[in-house]
Amino acid sequence: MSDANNEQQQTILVVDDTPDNLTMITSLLRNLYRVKIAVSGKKALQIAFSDEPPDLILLDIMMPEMDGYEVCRQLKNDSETRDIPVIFLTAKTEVEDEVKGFELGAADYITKPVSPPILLARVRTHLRLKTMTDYLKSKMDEAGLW
Amino acid sequence: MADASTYIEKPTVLVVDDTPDNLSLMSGLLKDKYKVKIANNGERALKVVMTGTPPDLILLDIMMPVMDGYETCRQLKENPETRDIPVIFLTAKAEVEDEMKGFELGAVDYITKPISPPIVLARVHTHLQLKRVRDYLKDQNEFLENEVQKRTQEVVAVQEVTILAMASLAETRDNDTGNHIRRTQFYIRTLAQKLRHHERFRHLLNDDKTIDLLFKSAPLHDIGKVGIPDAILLKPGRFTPEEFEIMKSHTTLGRDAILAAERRLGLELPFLAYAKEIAYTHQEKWDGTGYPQGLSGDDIPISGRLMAVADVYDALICRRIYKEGMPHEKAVGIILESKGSHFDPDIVDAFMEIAEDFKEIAKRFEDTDHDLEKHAK
Repeated sequence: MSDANNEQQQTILVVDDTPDNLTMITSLLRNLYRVKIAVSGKKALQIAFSDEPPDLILLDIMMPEMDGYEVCRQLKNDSETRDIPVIFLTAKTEVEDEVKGFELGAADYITKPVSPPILLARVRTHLRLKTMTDYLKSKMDEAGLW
Repeated sequence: MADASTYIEKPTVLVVDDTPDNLSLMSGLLKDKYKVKIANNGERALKVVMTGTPPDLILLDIMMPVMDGYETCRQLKENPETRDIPVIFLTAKAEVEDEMKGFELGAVDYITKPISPPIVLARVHTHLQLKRVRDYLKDQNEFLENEVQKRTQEVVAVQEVTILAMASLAETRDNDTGNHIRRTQFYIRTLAQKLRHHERFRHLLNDDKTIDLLFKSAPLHDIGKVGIPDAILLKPGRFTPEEFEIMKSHTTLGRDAILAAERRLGLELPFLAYAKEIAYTHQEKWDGTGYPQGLSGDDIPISGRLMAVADVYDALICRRIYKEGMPHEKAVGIILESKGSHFDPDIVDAFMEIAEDFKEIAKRFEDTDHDLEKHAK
């Protein structure tokens, strides 16, 4: 399994209510991944529950109407979307907030303003982890071990 | 498997920091879930890594006296033994250039100080998971590769043993010592190698696998002799026409024996395809006067045409308890005379060029007096 090939075909959903943030993050990712964007939590859930769900979600916390916590909660509540890794984008850095995010099932945090190497490293890490875990699960399914 | 608690042993995390407070803070945070080792500078860290069981993950401060985190990381990534241990940098710095440098050195992530406990736990967990799954897949691949290699070796060994066992059946019934089989095997390979680039033969012979199959299946050319009665097979003088008819059937019997074995096995094997061909067609002649089918020219499979030259040469030069072998030069002369009648002319031309190699092979597997006497008993 070649990482390059897998990652090229992988889709990342970026959710943020600030167009500038979306543009910036998209430009960092689009050479390596397919990028989808959503400007609200509601829109994000629509894409996540569509026929072509993303492989990873970068999720802003502070958004009007439905915030990132609620989006995450709904994603983790449904077996269809539960295994999609969610990385929170946040300006906040309070420990209590982080605890809350991890309890909701987030995989990690990225602090804004976004540092490009950090963003790329964390996205890559969680995509690889998911790809490998999925692969292993499918092998174990085949072998009846899961 | 999504949980660190399913490790048979707790994974080991090495924390490297020159500030005692940071070390105790980290240890306190990690010790419930992991075995924690500590080091207060890069040099010590490398020592800890090299002695005993290496850690599963390293949390590495950047700014340290003696040896800083960058240099420590560089050395870890240079060594194949330690290259795969994930390194997470601990840093107060948050400049993009520094981060780039760390990632280029092979770090997997950063944790900013002052540390946030949930972040530390989440990142340590993530990278231990990733390493564990990766190691598991790597082990599995290595295991499978070894397995395939082992099986392949077994299959090849079984092929060779099968051929030798079958060939030795024919041998024990015949006048031959085992050396005839060895010699013809080497003759046919030398001849095929000489002809592999020849314009008429390269589409048939120009690959190592084919030549290897010819080499391996050649010993079976006379396997059909097991079906010929002793009175005929071992008769010292000339055959009567009736006896010769029976003798000729060894070609068909040989092919049928291999065919029957294949049927019982339920699958066709490439190496037996050549063996069948050689057994069935090595007595055919270029001009169509051979047996059993009376094929001529290119209708005779290349394996049979090659074997004809090898087989006749060896019959001419080999010693028997009742006769001396013919000298090499005389045998070469007889083969040359039969160019275009008994043998494919291009194969004879190739044979003429490498006749010395035949002579050498004959000498290498010569029947000694001991061989011949042993067989006579």
